[in-house]
Amino acid sequence: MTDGPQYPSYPGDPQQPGQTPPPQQGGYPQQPGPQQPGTYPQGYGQQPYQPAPPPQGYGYPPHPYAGWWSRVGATLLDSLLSFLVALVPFVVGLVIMLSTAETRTTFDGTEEITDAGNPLGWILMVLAAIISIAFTIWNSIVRMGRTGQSLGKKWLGIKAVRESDGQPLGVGMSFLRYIMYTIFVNACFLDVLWPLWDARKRTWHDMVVSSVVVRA
Amino acid sequence: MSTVSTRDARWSALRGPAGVAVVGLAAGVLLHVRDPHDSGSYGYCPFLLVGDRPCPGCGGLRAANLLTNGDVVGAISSNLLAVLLAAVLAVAWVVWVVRRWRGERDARMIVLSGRAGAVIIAGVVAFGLVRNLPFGAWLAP
Repeated sequence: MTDGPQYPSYPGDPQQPGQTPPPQQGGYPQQPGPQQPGTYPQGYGQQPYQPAPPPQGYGYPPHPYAGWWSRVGATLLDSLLSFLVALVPFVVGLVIMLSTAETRTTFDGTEEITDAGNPLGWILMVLAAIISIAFTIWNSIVRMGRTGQSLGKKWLGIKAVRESDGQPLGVGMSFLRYIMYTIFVNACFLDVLWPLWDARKRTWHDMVVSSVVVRA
Repeated sequence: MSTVSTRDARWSALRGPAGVAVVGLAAGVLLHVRDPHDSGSYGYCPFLLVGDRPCPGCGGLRAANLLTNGDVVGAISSNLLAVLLAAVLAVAWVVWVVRRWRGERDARMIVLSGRAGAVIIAGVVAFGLVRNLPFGAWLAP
């Protein structure tokens, strides 16, 4: 296929032999920031590059796509928060466990726990894990679904929205997006590198739920 | 307020390609000096350890190392996609420099539409399948 984007044909239109009108420069009204003008040399494979089509009357004013580093930074901040909220119970639990547990060295040199010690120790550590998971669910799924921003995204001024209308995803889609992120990222690092060369700077988990991350 | 001259703007637009070139060359030097053919030099692949089958990326580092030694045929037999990728990246980089020099200050190195991305992913998955089948054994590292 060497044609450009397919335009609907109307009865009576003379059939253009091959060449459809060239796509709009950039596809979006000019914005300050990293909008790319013009056409591009061939990417991989047979498809000629097609710039993202101009919004077809969806009413969502285009925003610049968020830079890759800002997305990385937001994720790191969210992970850091998730770690920090659980830090106190984790450390207290660990200290209790280490100071009250008893171990014994077996014949082959390994240490074995013979008595887990004060149960408060490991209870606090489990609690720390639960707190961390609950925070992540609240921050990266619920908050992001409702407002488009986790705390990390809020601090870096980016938001994850539906591609069709620019609204936040809603908690359900946000949940699916997060699950897919977890699965993809553990299978292959390419998921989070994909925005480096995608036209709309999407990751694989963005593509699945038709979301896009833009500057807020 | 001073304005940036066109000449300065051209050179500053080349900072991106320069950064990528530095990283690419550093990676090439590293792969040349620290040979991925030595078992464990870059760690061990979790995919291979768990599944015992080569994923589409298997042999990529070895292919890159062979390319730094000039052995293109050996590199292809290690990982065909890696060689193709290296060629595409080289061409794309040159085109990128030209476009940035000519005035597209924010041009990106590679831009793939959603459809192109899907085609590539499908191709990579197909490559991964075929190299695990008997008739595709020449594609396996």
